[in-house]
Amino acid sequence: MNQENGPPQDSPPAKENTEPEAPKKEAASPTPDAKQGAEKKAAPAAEKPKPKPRPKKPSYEDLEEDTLLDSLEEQFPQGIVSGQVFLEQPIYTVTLDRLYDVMLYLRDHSELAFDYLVDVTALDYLGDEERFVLVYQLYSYQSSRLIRVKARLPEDQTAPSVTSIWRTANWLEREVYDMFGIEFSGHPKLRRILLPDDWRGYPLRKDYDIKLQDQTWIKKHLRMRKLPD
Amino acid sequence: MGNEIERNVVTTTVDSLFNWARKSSLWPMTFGLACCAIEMMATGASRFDMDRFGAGIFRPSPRQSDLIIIAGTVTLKMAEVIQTLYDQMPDPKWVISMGACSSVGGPFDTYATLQGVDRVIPVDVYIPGCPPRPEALLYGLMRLQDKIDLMSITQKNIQPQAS
Repeated sequence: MNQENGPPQDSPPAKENTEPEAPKKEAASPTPDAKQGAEKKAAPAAEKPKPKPRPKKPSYEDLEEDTLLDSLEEQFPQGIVSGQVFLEQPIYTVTLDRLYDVMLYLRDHSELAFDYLVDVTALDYLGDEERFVLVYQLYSYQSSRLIRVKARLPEDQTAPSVTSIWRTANWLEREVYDMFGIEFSGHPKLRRILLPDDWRGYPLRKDYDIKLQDQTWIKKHLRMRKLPD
Repeated sequence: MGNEIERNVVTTTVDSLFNWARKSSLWPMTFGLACCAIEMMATGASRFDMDRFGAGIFRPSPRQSDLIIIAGTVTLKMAEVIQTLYDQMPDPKWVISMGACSSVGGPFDTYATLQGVDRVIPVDVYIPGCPPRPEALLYGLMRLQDKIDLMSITQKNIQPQAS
């Protein structure tokens, strides 16, 4: 959007400025003409007030000097994949086999005391070897801290259920199962929570069309009327 | 004596008597699905007062209702319930589809949403809007009353003239 203004500069606009313009013009006329046109157009742009510096795009960066990451790595030497930060939100990626232990540690440690599981959700990276990423949001009322814990798992594997740590995980894990088809071992009653029990397919998977409706279910449960076209 | 009869006896047809009674005491079912239901409640409350048209007594049971106002998004899971409720209503019965969601699915063109309640039950009046204002619901109700006025015990399903 801001490309027309170009980077702030006092010197006459040079090649840099013409670059974003060129592709638009090329469709109508050959390249030499396009450059001329672009320069003409760029001249008044230089007189305009300097555009505000664009806000930096948020990005994932490695955590530095994080006591929680240090203590986790000390406690679980093989279990911690990475510690990152995104918009001041710390993210800890752990291996699937240590996920349950890490969660238990986070809740029961007297100084951490993450006593509230805010949300459980998942991501689908279709085509990756480890297809799904489980995402847990944890909150500590004691220290008012919010952290995110992630764990990758392949399609054919089950995740450990954390219902025995936070009871609220019961419904949250059922929702993840309903939408992604990720199974949780140790869940007391893992069945669909939003969609009908006998629905086929997992709508939030990337290989599921968002408009796809289970016609077998519809045929079985609804008496659809014929509509005039 | 002749004067007395003239003053106290009204002659009419069975059709207009029945239609008048039916359209003047439409009892809707207490049934709301989404934000349209909030508008429906406002229509029933004192400011807009749906009772002026005889349709203010929201019945808690489909067995006592003449009218079901589909007020909100119909998910496939709920469509099954709606069909049951509609079957439980005694004849004659009418359906108002209130708002974009129940009429055509609204913005929810997804795996879970029924794209129009008329795919599972017959609809008499469609009300556009998202959600429709109470005035729109009242207008829809009045159009339904016009439709009921055209009913006949000897002829079924007379379509009202487009106005």
